[in-house]
Amino acid sequence: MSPVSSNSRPLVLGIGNRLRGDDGAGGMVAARLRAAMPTDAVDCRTLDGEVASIIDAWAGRRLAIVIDCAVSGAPPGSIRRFDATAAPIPALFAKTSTHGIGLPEAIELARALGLMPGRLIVYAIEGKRFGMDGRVSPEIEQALIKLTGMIEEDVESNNRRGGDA
Amino acid sequence: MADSKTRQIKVDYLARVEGEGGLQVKIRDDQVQEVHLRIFEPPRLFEGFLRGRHFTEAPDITARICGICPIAYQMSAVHAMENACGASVGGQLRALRRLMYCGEWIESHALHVFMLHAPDFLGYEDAIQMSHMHPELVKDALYVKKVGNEIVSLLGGREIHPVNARVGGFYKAPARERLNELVERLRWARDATREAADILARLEFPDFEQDYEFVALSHPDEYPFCEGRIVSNKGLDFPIEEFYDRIEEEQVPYSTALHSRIRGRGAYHVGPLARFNLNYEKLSAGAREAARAIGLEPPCRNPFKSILARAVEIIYAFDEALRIIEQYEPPPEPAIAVAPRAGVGHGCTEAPRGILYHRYRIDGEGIIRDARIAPPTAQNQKIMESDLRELIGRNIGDDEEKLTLKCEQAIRNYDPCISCSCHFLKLEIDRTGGPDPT
Repeated sequence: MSPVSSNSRPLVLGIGNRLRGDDGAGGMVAARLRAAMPTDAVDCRTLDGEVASIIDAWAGRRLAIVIDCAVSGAPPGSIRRFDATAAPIPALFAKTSTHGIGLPEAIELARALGLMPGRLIVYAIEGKRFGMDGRVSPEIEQALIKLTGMIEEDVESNNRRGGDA
Repeated sequence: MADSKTRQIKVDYLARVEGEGGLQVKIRDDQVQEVHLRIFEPPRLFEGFLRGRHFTEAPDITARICGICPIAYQMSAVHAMENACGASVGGQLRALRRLMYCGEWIESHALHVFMLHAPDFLGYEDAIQMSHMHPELVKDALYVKKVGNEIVSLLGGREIHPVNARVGGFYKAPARERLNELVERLRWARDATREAADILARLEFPDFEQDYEFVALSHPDEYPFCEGRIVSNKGLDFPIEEFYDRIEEEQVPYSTALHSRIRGRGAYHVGPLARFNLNYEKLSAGAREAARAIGLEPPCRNPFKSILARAVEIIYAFDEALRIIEQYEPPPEPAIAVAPRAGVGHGCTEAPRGILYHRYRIDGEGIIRDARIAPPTAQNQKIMESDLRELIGRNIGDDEEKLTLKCEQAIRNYDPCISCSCHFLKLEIDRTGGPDPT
């Protein structure tokens, strides 16, 4: 990888496809936070799940918060939080990536290569509707409000500590 | 036949390939009886639902066929539609199409070479394992892939399933400054690939050569992306409009993908090795020099060395991208006007995995009445089975685990792109003595 540039702003990274209903939940949270928080407090982005871009986005960050849609059998709208800084995350994310390289694999690849952020928090939000019409399920609509608040708290708490994740 | 011995090698799900496929091999009395590369991904019916759609929709619809090579689908579609309508895109718009294709080759080849295929040669289960021992190689590979992503993003509007290509050109052409911003990264990534190719050249390649009929596009002036005649090393040389006059497709019961063959001849080989062998002189000087340095010379008939051909093509794609950017002047309009007219149009472009042919029949209003698509993986199915038959025959004494690994590696030589989905490897080996159950 090219030289990694350090960026002290926390990164909020929504992963998914906004055209496939609940799969776009990560991007929706990132967009809400972008509108709600000052740009010098947080860097909000959306990616489709491609491994090189994910790793490049978080490498060199003190704190990265990733939101991805999960399909694990839990009730739709369930939110789970994992600290991936030191341990792998469970394989409960929607397997929509090509060639089987998805978020869990991206994390482990980054760990092996020394390209992890200082701290990596992963939020999994359980999806239900992935249709081509792009409509989001009511359960996800509700959960987005709560999840946006949780991440806002994470970011503010981090920034209050001076970014010392 | 009571004393015959039957072995079965069965790979339910092929790993590190694109989509849902498996392998079933039957060996009896130390003779390979049957090799079935099973593609059980459900039919996707794209040709069916293209019918009735407007001709301008084909690039965006067909791009959804594949998350790895959507540009190839878009380029074959736009060329076929322009061919049907009697239009021709030239100048900077044509150059931008080549540039976007460079991005796709870089993305696709980098993923396959370093993340999917190299672990086979180095004895690792996957790229994550490999990254512990070869971190710099994997880091560089990720960066090379990302630079490919950036080209596609800039030209296509986004990395996967780009939306900016259209019949006649683009919806928006990039400013010169935006392309110039890529130059430094392109150079860095080209040099990194060059260094990585030296590592690849030191891999141990099985001694395995076949007398293939290599088939690729050939253009008088350039290494082929979007235009040219279809040629082979055994005398084929025909315009793309004659594709189905020269190539036939057949259905086999164990695969949902049609098998292609040259009429009256049989299996043929498309992809990077075919392109390299048939278009070596059209590579950039830097790519040819890299090929020579890593010991890859045409004709190369060892499919395991396709990993080297892909590396050389990545270097070519960087050189070509830099050349196009250096000469770029924004076109006055991002697209030329293309009016529909009743007729049949053909498009054939070089997807990362080989020639991708589209044929459409449209009416005077531009409505698609018929569509046919021949993807490279379907065209390579027969040759993959032929390789497997030969490879197993030569290694018949190997135990099942070793033989299975060799078979999977042989399939991955072709980077088969069965569709866009994930899978895991479930291996089942059944060694049976006694009469042939069939």
